[in-house]
Amino acid sequence: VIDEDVLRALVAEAAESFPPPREPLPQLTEGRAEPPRRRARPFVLGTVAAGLVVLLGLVGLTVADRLRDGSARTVQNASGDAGDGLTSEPTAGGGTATGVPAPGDAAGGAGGGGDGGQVAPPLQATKVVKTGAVEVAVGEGAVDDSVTRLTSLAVGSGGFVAESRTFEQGERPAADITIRVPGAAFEQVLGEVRGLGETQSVTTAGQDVTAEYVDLEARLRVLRGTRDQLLGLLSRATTIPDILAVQDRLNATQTEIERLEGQQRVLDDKVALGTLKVTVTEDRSALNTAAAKPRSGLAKAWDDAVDGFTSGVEGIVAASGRILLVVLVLAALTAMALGGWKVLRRRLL
Amino acid sequence: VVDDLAVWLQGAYGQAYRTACLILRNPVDAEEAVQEAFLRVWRFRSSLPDGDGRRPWVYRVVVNTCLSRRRSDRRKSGGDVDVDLHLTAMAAPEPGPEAAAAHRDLAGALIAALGALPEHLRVPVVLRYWAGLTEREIAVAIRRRPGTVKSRLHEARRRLGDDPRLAALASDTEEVAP
Repeated sequence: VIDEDVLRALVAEAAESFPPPREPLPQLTEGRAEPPRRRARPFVLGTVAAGLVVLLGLVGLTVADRLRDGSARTVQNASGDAGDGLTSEPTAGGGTATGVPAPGDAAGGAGGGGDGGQVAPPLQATKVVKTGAVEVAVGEGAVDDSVTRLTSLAVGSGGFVAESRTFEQGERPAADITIRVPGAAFEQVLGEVRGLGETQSVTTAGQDVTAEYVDLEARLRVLRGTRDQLLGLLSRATTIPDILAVQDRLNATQTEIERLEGQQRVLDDKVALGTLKVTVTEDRSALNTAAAKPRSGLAKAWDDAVDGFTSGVEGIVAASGRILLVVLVLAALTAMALGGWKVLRRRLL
Repeated sequence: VVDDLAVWLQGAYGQAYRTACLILRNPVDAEEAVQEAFLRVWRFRSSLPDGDGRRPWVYRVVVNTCLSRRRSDRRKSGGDVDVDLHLTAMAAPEPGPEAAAAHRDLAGALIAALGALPEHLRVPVVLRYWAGLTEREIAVAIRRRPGTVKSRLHEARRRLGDDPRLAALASDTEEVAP
């Protein structure tokens, strides 16, 4: 190992043997007085400001949505409703369909994808199934009137009465009536139902079934592609075993298509018409029979205002979790970006 | 602070230039590399540490610029630089033909021996024994741990010690030096 001092002397000798630089170092201060960091600042601040503006916009939209759509107040009983819907599905083809995609589906899907006739589905609008339950106490002898009024409400809004039952509760008459009303008129009808008498309880739910709907559509698209391919195969099959084999697959595919179409129809129906279950009981203490004497416009407006305020506050509280998450993510990203920029600048050196 | 850095860079220019000469073994390339490195340091001066931390950072920039220049040259030419070409271009700092020849021998042998070292050994040697950086400062400059720097320096000294021409010159130097 060469001695350090000797090496130092040799290296110095070698270094000094090089000729001096041809040109001196250029003047560094000329025209470069401002460090580049100051230019970077407005960019970072601008990005953060733009992020905040987008965030505020999103919050505003969310809250506005919540205020407009009171059905988001309570979300419940989603799976139960879906189960009900499936009971009425058509099962043409002898009930052989199991819901499990057949092995050829993937190939069918790939074939469908390559087909020029298949285009990407348009962005799906949000599909919400609205349900609600209201208990109203009406004045003495007003139960029948209320049922009649509810029926005309349902029909008047473009819906119908799905189920109606009158019975005795203790010695008092009562009625259970389930009405189906168009989604757009749901809130209005709900307000009018509450105006029938003294509201004991109100539960509303809005179940977002967009994902389920999109999934159904996608599966149907794939299955229809498979069916078309099988039909093509069938027309070319020449031997009996081939024809039988293709026909078996075709039957199974067709059954599955019909089963899914049934589910889609049920979903469509649920989305188109909300379900409102109203329980009307007689309350002897209620002096005013609301059915006979509807509330004044001012009282209704006041109730609506209180409802609107409550749902607005609920909307803000519900959205606050999302806001906090977005703020945290933005903060983390900003910190990472700033840290990364610092490291990058050092590495660039 | 800005003026202070400009003054500091002007003062460090000569030593950095010769550091680059030893790494690249080509004065023209070395001069361009150091000017480029110093302008880069100036451009990113806001992220440069102050005080004692400044030197290794500046040398990091110098080393990086030299190595990237060397790599791009190698890609263009497809080979290493010819040492002898630059040895003939060297100036003789001492008067007299004999002294000049001896000087050229010594310098040429060392430059050739350094050239025989791989980059990862040559750079620490130059930074340690010419630029005078400590092992810790070299670690910052080449982005390696101090332990790695230590072992590379030892390995470089061992290889230089094995070089027969350099060993002969080293023994002469040792005899002359005391």
